[in-house]
Parts: sequence; structure tokens; C-alpha cells
Amino acid sequence: METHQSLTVPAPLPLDYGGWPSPFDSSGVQYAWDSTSLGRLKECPRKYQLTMVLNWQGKARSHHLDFGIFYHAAIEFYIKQMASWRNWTTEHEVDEFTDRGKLHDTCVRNAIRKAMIDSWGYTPGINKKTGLPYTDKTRKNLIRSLVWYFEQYGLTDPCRPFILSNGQAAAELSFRFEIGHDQLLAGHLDQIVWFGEHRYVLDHKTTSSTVTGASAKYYFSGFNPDNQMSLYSIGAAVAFNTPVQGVIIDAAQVAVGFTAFGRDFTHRSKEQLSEFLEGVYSYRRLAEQFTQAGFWPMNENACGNYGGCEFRDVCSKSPVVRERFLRTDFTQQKPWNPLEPR
Amino acid sequence: MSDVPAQVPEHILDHVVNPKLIDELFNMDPLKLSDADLNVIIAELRKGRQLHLTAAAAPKASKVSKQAVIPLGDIDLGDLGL
Repeated sequence: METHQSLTVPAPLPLDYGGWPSPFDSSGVQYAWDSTSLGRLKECPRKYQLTMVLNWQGKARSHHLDFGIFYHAAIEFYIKQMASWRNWTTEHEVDEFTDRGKLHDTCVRNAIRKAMIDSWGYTPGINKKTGLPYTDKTRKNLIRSLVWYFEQYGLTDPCRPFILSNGQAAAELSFRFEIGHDQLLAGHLDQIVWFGEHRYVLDHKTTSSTVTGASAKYYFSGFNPDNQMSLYSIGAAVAFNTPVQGVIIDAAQVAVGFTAFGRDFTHRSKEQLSEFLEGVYSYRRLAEQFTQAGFWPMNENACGNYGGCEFRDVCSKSPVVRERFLRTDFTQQKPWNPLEPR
Repeated sequence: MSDVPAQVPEHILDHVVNPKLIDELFNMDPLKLSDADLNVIIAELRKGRQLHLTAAAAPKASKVSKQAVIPLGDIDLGDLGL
């Protein structure tokens, strides 16, 4: 079996899951799946092995990830503040915030303050093609995107927050539930909202793609079929006992000189979700086979997806020298754990 | 920056806000930003959105109308081959 080893590097020891249970069972096969880990396995078993089993991550943190985290956090902050104003207790606040416009302005300011603090020191990454920093996802454009988002949707959003029994808006919700065959699905939902008489998951995205006008269909059509959206649909329905109609993609196109917003729906039928679960079981069986064989094959057809896989250079080398190249640009970091709530 | 009143009328902000000021605010330690500082940033970005929306809504000159512009002044008929 020596020749079947995917990599010469051993698994890191010991794994620290920050006090949360490991998502791997005693035989080393993952049993708790979220959209990230499941998506990796579907995309390329080798990439799954590198990132989820061996915990390799690029030394340079993705600015797209950071930008998205700041954006999500500020919107969540705003939504929760707007929804919870009735719980504020001092007379001064109640008087001031009976005016919804004033409440909105205050919540916007608080959310912007949070984003300014969170993003302090953030700089966009270097564009490999030009050798220069990216000019779209800058700190200023983050703040601009948030202010414009709150202007567009703050007081006139047709999506109304779904209020949980604790009085809080349903935003940034972690879930996990059993799906049989000793497996769990886990994840995090941005929001559950009312749209008309129906409930939907609302998922915020930032992108450089066009999200308005006729060209928007190219962006939104990418979400059906889509691993993440199927998992969110079933997650909201099962974990929160909330039958949802599907997911609303709430997209922000962040360009150098403007931010544009577009929304679209992606629906899943019961039959589609059943098929999705069958797929999860099948991929779990595959993961079991790969684990037992100690060999995680590459999916060479995925190497060019999304501008090129970050491990492409490593995988292009001979297996005997791969570790050296891996250690140059990547480090083994804290394991990804779908069971860790946010 | 903290001596700017919290409730600055918008028409005053039109004169006060400028890119240099915004740059200064973005370069400040965010923990030291006052409500008034944040109001200035938000007002400026809201103004930028209005400008963007106005520009996007403005009817664009068609290629035909651009080509149909007739130059003013004397025309040298020789340039037209006449």
C-alpha cells in the first residue's frame, strides 16, 4: 500500500477541537458534516484530505473570507439591534426609538462602528495576476457596502425577521441534527425571515459577479443544484422545526466604485432534499473507503475551478517532493470542526 | 474630530465632508471614533450612493446621438471631399 499513500506527511497529533467533540469517529471517518467539509469531499477527495483530515491551510489568509466575515457580522448586529429595541429598558431609549427612522440611524451607526473596529488592520490580498492589492474588497468598500445595504433594505426590506421564542431575531443560528446511519449534519444559517406568508433562509453573499439586471441569472443559477443551499434548506426545516420554502440569496456585488444588491430564490422540494441526503450517505461511504485505503484520489477536473485550486502547485509535483512544497506555502492549523457553534 | 456636533444638519455636511476628511477618519483608531465621526462617514457614503443611483438612472446617450453631433464653427468643405 506504500505506493497508494496520497501524501508522505503524517496526520498531526494531537488534534485540538477546542473542547468540542471531534467530527471524526473512532475509525477516523467523518460522521458530522457541514457544507464546507461535504463540499470539499465532493469537489476533490485529495483537497478534502489536505484540508479536513490533515488540516493544511494557506499561510496567507483569504481576504475574501475576512471581508465576508466583517460584512456578515455587521449585518447580523444591525438586524438583532433593530429587532430587540423593544427589550431596551431605559425610558430615554424607548422614547427615542419609538421613531423607527431614529432607531435605524442608531443601529446603522452601531453596526458601522463594529465593522470599523473589526476590520481595523485589514488589507486586501494581492492579486496574483497583477501583483497589486485587490481594489474592490477594501476596508472602505466594506463600510460603503454596509451603509448602502442598510439604505437599500434597512427600513423597507420586504423580508421581515423571524423572531425566536427568546425574542431575538433568527440570525447566525448554529444547528446540528442526526440524519441516520450514525451521521450528523451541522451548519450555520445567516437568517430565517418571513417573505409574505412564507419562511425562508436568507443567506448573505459578497461577490464580484453581476447580481442585478439580465446578467444576474448567471450568478444566481449557480445555486441550484448547490450543496450549501440544499443543506441550509434541510437544516432550517429540521433543526428549527421551521418549514421553509427555500433560500433567498442576498447578494452584494462589491465593485471598485459601487456596490449593487440583488436577491433571488432557490427552492428545494422534499424529493430533492431526500436525494441530497442519499448523496450524503454515499459520500460518507466513499470517505470510509478512502480512509481504509489510505488513499484520497485527486479530481483533476476540479483543479481549475474558481480561479484555480490553492493546492494546484503542490499536487502538480511528484509525490516524493510534495511535502516540501506543501510546507513552504501552507501550515497545519486548528482543525475545521462542524460541531463547533459560532 | 470629536468636537463636531452629533446632529449636523445635512446641508452643512455638504460643505464639511470631503475625501481628505473621510481618509483621516478611516485612518483613525476606530475605538476613538465618536458618534459624530461615524455620522460623517455614513453621510458621505449615503451621498455617494445617491450620486451613483442618479448617474445609473440618467438616460445614456445612444451611439447614434453621439455620432450625430455636428461640430460648430467653420467647416472646411475640403475635409469632406467637396
